[in-house]
Amino acid sequence: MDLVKHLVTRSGLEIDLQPREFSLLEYLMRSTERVVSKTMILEHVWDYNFDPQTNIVDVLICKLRNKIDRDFDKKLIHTIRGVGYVLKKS
Amino acid sequence: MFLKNLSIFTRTIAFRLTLWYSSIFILSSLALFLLAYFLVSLTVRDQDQKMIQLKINEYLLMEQAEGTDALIKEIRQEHPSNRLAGFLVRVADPQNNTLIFTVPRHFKKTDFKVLNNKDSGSTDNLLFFQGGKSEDVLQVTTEHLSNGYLLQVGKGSKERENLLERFREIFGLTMIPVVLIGLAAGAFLAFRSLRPIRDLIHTVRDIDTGNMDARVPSNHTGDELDELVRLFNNMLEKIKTLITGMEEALDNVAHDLRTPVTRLRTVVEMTLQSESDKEALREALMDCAEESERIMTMLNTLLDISEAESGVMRLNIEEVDMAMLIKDVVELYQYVAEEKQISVSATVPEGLKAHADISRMKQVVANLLDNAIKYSKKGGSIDINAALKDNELKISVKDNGVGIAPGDLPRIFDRLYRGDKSRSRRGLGLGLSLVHAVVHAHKGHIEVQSHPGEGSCFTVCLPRA
Repeated sequence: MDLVKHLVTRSGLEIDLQPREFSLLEYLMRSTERVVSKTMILEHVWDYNFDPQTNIVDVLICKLRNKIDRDFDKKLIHTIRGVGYVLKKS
Repeated sequence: MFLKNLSIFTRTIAFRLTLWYSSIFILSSLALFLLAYFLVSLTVRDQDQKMIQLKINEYLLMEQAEGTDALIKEIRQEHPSNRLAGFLVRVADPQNNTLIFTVPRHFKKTDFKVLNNKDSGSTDNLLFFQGGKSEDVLQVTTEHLSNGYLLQVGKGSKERENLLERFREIFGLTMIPVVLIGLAAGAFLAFRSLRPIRDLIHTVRDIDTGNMDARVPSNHTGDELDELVRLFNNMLEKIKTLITGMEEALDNVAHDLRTPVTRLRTVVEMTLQSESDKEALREALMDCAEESERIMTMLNTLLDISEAESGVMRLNIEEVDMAMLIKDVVELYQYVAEEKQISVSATVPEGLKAHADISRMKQVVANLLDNAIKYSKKGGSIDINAALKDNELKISVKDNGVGIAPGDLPRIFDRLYRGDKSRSRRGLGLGLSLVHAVVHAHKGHIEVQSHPGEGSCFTVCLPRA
């Protein structure tokens, strides 16, 4: 992930991400192997300090997954039900 | 017991005020009397001096007109009446031999030898003699007659002492009622003006013993104490609202929590009863985590609603750019809307400002938009409009979704109420309650129009400025 050029590549393939998807991925990567909750994602990606009780985060995660994990056997983004999401290396 | 009561009484403000009032009153009347006394005694003394001078002038005139012998004869004739009137008259020839000597009654025992020593060349023409009683004073003026004769006239202070004594007596007599009136008026004023304070003390004592409804009676005088009473009552009212609000909120929360906690317990019990492998246990734990997450969200939202409703919500009111705010919220829901292929359009005039808590207002718009998306069909459209109208800032969120059944309309803002159609969808049933509470905390109100199958329109009205 190139933060300056705003480029994301996986296994040499360039992946085109929208701004929010990009910042979500950045946040997940910064906290690799650590579980982040929906509230934390809302705070970091949208800068919202309240819970709008909605599935915004799920939708964004879903979109990001489609772009990053769909074409690969090894899944990177994992859901921990009831807790949040985590990005794992292996 | 009595001494204790007395010491309590002497420590009261009323007592001290009374003491101050009356001592100031008494001292000032005393000072006034002393001044008057001093002036009167001066005047009376002056008067005596004038009378002596008058007598001397009279004699001098007589001497000029009729000669010294005639004067002496005249004085001899006057002799007894002079004595009675308190005059001393002495006439001496050039060799200082006393020719006539009249002394007032009170000075018979006084030694007047000094008068004889008075030589004709003396410049000091005023002499004083002590009488039989110490307060009796005789003042004597000496005058030279034409042919070396000496005329001395004096007057005793008896008369003016009498006058001044009368004055003192009258003052003594008036002082007693003055002191009494001063004390009584002081006490009356002190007790009267401190009545609101006593009322306040009674009320606080009442509240202390559990009577939360006690209020301080106000006499509507509009003074500082009345203001204090008014503010105190307002404070009590606020505290009471807070307490009842908290109690209600606690009741509601306890009630609302029962369902999810029961679910949590069921999951745990079921898992404990069944022979489960590791994966099943994991699943159950995840269920628990999810359920407790929901409880947390619910608790937070309920607390927010209670806070907003009871008026203790801390609102950080500032000038908010509505166009910015709505743009932010629309952006937040961009993906959700895209996923459902719902188009969201916002029409906000540039520079439309509102006075609100920016974070709470975002929450309001977000909740409304969230609802609109939730109840819109695929491919629907949502319109957000904000404008100034009738001195109110109106923000409306309009969708063409499923709409609300007329039977549900009056209850949609109730806590945890969910219409039949919304039961199948995720959510707590708290979103609209929160919106309602926050808008009311902003002193605004919310309107809703809806037709089943055609869509709904929620309008938030905020007072301008």
